[in-house]
Formats: sequence, structure tokens, C-alpha cells
Amino acid sequence: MSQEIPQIGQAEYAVPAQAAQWQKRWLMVGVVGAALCVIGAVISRDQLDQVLRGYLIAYIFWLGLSLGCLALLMVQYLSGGLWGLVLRRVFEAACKCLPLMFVLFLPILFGRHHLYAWMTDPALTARNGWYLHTSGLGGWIARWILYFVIWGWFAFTLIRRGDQQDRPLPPGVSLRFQGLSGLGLVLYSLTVSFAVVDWVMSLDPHWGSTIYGLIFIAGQGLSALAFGVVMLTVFTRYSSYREIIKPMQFHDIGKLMLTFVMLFAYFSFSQWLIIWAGNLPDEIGWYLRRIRGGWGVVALIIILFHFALPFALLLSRELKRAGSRLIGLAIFLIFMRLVDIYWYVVPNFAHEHGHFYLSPWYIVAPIAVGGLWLTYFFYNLRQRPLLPLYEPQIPSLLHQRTHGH
Amino acid sequence: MSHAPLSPAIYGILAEFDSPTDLVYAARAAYAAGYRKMDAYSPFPIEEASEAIGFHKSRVPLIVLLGGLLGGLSGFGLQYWINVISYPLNIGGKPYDSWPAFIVPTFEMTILFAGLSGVLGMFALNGLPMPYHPLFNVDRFSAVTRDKFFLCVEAADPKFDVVDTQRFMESLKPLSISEVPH
Repeated sequence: MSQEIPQIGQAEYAVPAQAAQWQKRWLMVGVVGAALCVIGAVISRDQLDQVLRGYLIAYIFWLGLSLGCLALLMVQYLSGGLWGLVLRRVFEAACKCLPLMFVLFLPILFGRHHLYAWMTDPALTARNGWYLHTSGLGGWIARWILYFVIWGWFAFTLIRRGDQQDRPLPPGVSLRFQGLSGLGLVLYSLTVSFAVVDWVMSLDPHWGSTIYGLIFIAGQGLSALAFGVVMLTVFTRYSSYREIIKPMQFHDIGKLMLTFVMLFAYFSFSQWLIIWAGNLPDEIGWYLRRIRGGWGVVALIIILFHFALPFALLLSRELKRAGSRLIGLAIFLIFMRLVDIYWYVVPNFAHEHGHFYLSPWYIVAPIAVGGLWLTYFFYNLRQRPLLPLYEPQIPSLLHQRTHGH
Repeated sequence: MSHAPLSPAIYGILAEFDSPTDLVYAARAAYAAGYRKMDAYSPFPIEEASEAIGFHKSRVPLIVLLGGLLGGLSGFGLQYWINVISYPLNIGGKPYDSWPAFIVPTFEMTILFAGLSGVLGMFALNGLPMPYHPLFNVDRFSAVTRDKFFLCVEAADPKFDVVDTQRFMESLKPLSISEVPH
């Protein structure tokens, strides 16, 4: 098929004009939230600890959203598919938030002695001190920089090449995305696994689980898809992008959401089953801290509302095809991702409280970081149209517009 | 009348089209004209075609759901019966009804039963295997597995009339029109 010149008007793939307003509003939220966090952090030593824990939850979630979008961008380059084409600019704008997330790591870097007990007590890492140390090239700090170099390089190389599809491509030139994306996905899985070991699992330096990274990867994919559904629905509400998006795209994204809901449950259950069956003192304590003292309710909420309910709802074809209904579930799943990360992070400090604990900072910090992230996201999004018009799959996207689904 | 020598006992009237788009347009037109008992045939699935002929939802998903539930319950029940009632064994000091250990086989049984009920339910509802079908009496119909698209309005349709229906089908500008004998 020859590359037909796309027959769509400028308006249909333009970023909604309201995006500038959303950018401003989220900036307000971000700045106010960040100011609250700073005030909280200087009130007292106790409050500082709580702010940092809330901040870690927020950071892991919003970084995960950027990384999930990077992974889905690469998956789409590998597999094709219109579901990812209509989301590509959303994914790219989210990837461009990685430099922001690099900078936003600084509070964790400077607050690391408050978060990670092993940083101040060398006895805790008697066995695994070769990995958990802060000095030198292989250390915790060096790895933080290395992860971001890898993520940033893949993200910005793919975005730069993607930019070329805004203009007609000279004949004979092909943009190679597949090899790069394949390698990128392999490195993504490895770096994300190591990163969550460094930043979340090492909160408990004695405990280890080999499937841990995969649980977070499934969570990142789910967050990114849910965020994609929210953005796509909002675009169809406020712009002529609705002329291009058909129920089939929502259907496909909905199916992928169902897949990731199941994948998350599968990984999470595998970790639980192996540790439960082994019942070893070194390992089982991690779960006991997350079941006893009121935490069991949170665990039950995660099973019911991070898996059972979304699973049952996403079986419905009608729900998956209607963006206006899918968006509710998507927002709910984003909230459940935060609950899950909260359940991973906070019970590590159970010895301080001995029971279920929810500091207001665990809510303020995710909103504050989210405000900053979304501000930068909308800024990035507004730089370019919503579709790369000379991408080879565009004709089939426009074809389904005239022949409707 | 030019159509006089038609046999009254035919299966339907078959129109042949060159492209999936033509087929979908023809199917929509036939549906709009009031025909309901018709079917579209193509070398590959066309989602619009099933919508165009007014294909209602099938009951296969319900059968799959019931099969899955049955499989899950029986899988869990079997393990519970073995481990708790029939042959209790102390394994690692765990309680007899250690449900986490039952989850994986329960899941597998759910998938197995759901999958099998999907296949068997599909066969039960669509009447396969079908060793004889009148459409194969039309020679041109063999092209349906290659590059041609067919719409058949069946004689069982209340609105079906040999003369009128044939005239209507001609108005859809097909490549050919054939009567399908039984």
C-alpha cells in the first residue's frame, strides 16, 4: 500500500486547548502540595520520617507511570497495533517526565538515612553488604544514576526517531524501532527489578524475593494503561480526536488492562504461595508484618479491588468498548496501585507503630508529586500533535474511521 | 415473467462480491430492507459484517462462565475432599484445609473447564460439524475461501420472495447472483 497522504484536518489530532489550563491547575496542586511537604518535613523529626515515607510511595508510583509508558511505547514498536499508536504521544510525553523524576529523587537521596535502616547500621547488611552500600561505582547512588542513564537514553532515542514521523520520510529511509525496543525492554526489566530492590525492597535488608521486580513491572504496565485510558477519554471529550478514536481502541486497551490485572495477581500470588509454603522465619515475617495489626484489611482490599473486582468488570465487552465507562475503572485502578505500593512500603516500619498506620503525608505526597508530574506531562504533550502523521500505520487508523467499527 | 421457472424449494439467494466493503454495504442494505435471516461469508473474519447482518450476541460467553465456575468449584472441592475428609495428611505442619495450596490446581481446572465448555458450547450452538450445507451446491461459492465475499438471504426469512428478493439483490450490484438449491 502506498503511503496515502492522511486526509484529516489539523483540528482532529491537535492537543485539546484546555491542556494549557490543566497544566496550570496541576502546577498549583503540585506547588501547594510540595510546600505542605516541605513544611511537614521541617516541623519535627517524626514528621520528616512520615513525609519521606509518603514521598517514597509517591515517587515509586509516578516514576513507575513514566517507566510503564516507556515499556508500552517499546512494546508497541515491537508488536504494532492501533491501541498504542493512538496513545504514542501520551507515552512519549510521560517518558519525557523522566528527567523530572531524576531530579525528584533528590529528597530520597538526602533523606536516605531516615528511610533505609541499613544506611546507618552496617550490622544489618553483614551478609549482603557487597550490594547494599552507598560508596563506589557499584553502590546505591551510582546505580540510581545508571538506571536513569539507561531509561533516559532509550526514551529520548525513541522519541527523537518518532519525531521524524511528523514529516514525510525521504524514500529509502526506514526508521529502525524494533531492535532498539527489543533491547530496551530487556534492559527495562532488569533495571526496574534492580531499582525496586534498591529503593523499596531494601527497606527490609534481610528479606528477598526474586519475583519482586516483576510485580512492580506488572503494576507499572497497569498504571500506564489506566493512565492512557484516562487521557484518551479526556481527549475524546474535549477535542475532535473523537473522530479518530473508535470503540475498538478502547476495547484493545481494556483487554490489555485485564491482562495486566491478571499478571499482577499471578506474580503477587506466586510470591505469596512460595513464601507461605516454605514458611521460613527469614521470609514469612515480611508477610506477617503485612497481615497482622490491621494490615490484613489492606491486603484483603488489594485482593478484592486490585484483582477480583477489576477482573470481573473487565470481562464485560461493553465496559471495555466505552471509554466513558472504562475511565472510572482506570482511575480506580490508579488509586489501587497507590494502595498496593503503600502496603509494600509502610509496614516495613511496623515496629514503630505496631499496627495499621496511615499518615496524612501518604496522601499529600502522591498528590504533590502527581501535580508536578502532570504539569510537566501536559507541557510535553502540548509541544506536538497527538498523532505522528507519517507513521506507516496511520492509513489503517484512518481507514477504520471511514469504515467505522 | 422471466423468473417463472424457479423452483419454490430453494435454500436462498446468494450474491457474490469482490471486496469486504461491498459485502458490508450490501449486508447493511439487506438489513435495512427488512431481511433478517441471512448470513455473510468471507475468507477472513469481518467484524462489521456480523454487525451489519444484525448478528445478536451468542450465549457462548455464558456457557464459558458457567463451565469455568463449575471447573473451579469442582477442582477446589476435589482437593478439599482429598486433603480434609478422605485422606488427611500432615504436610509441613500446615492445616489440612490449606487453601493457598489449592489455588493453582483450582485455577487450572477453571481454565480447563472454561476452555472445553467454550469449544463444546460453540459446537452445540452453531450446529457443527455439518457434513452437508446447501451453499456448496453453488460452484462459485468455493471462492469464499480465497478472494470472494458472499451474502445469502435465506428462504426461511418471512420477507423472502423469489422474485422480489432476487430483484433486490440485483440492486446491490453483485458480481453474480445464484439461487441456492437444497
